[in-house]
Amino acid sequence: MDPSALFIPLVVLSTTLLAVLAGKARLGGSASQIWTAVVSMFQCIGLAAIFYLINNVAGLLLVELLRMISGVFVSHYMLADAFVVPFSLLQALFIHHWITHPAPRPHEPPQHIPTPLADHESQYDGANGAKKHLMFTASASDRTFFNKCLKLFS
Amino acid sequence: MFLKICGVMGGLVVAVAALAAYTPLVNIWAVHAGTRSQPQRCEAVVVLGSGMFPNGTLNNASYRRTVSAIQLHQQGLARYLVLLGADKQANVSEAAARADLARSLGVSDADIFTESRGMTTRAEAALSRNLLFPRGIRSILLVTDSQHMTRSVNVFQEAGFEVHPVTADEFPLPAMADDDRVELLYHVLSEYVARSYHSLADSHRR
Repeated sequence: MDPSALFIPLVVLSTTLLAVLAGKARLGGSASQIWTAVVSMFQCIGLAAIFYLINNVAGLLLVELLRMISGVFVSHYMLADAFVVPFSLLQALFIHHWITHPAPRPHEPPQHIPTPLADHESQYDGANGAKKHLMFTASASDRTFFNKCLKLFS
Repeated sequence: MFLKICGVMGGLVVAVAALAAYTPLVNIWAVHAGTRSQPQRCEAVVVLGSGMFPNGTLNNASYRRTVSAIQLHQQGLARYLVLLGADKQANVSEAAARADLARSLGVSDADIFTESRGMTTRAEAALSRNLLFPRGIRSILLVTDSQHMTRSVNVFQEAGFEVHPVTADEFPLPAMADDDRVELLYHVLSEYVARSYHSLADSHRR
């Protein structure tokens, strides 16, 4: 194998390592999350491959349909577009994120978000049922707003 | 479960891409899947269409095929040049642009035939037959890329020609660089899809 072929993979490996170190030091990434990230990456690539196949089959069917309806020759080479690959990857990223990060349903309590309100929750526990109910169903931005209101009225 | 399948597929895609880019496996596959050149003296050289750039010049594949055909003509392997190509850009057809190139390289106008109506390989074979059979020409040197050649030889033989392939690839074979190997993999896979489509269409036609 031509040793120069390893140049770009080595550059990519180095920048990935740097990004992981920076993520660990500055952004709070943990080593145990790396495996999860690798699995997610493979899932995205697999999903992109599925979208690539689906896009090509859909394109082929559309070409056949256009040929039948219009009677004009439409070339299959219209499918030979390199942009199918990045577009499939974008579709995969979008769908993967959508599947793995579902929005909380209205009747389900949101994930616990540590805010100053958490301290107030114990204070208000039982004292005002309406307020407590509001706190549990509020989103993070609502909670911030609610905290400001509490400070104003306390 | 679905995401697990995606994960396995992703692993396979990465493994295949790595094997294609960093091992010579694609070269072996491409040689096996393609057709080798067998040039010999014939009556005409038939050059299959490929495409043009929007500014009215030949694309890389079309240019390579045309130059190969002109070389065969100038080596005395065939008298006539049959230049095909239905693509039309900037009011110039591919066949006409190829004829201009041939004339500029010294090929006599009397030895050039052009045909710019064939949209598919099968149509090109039928149009070449209409052009050459009345002149008593049946043995041809067929010029296209090595992967497209296997299918093209079959189509031209079905049209009644005695075919001798001469390949003109727009990709290096064997490919040594990683990106060239991935491009070669794309060509080989595309041609397998095209062969499957045509065998399906043929069985439907029958």
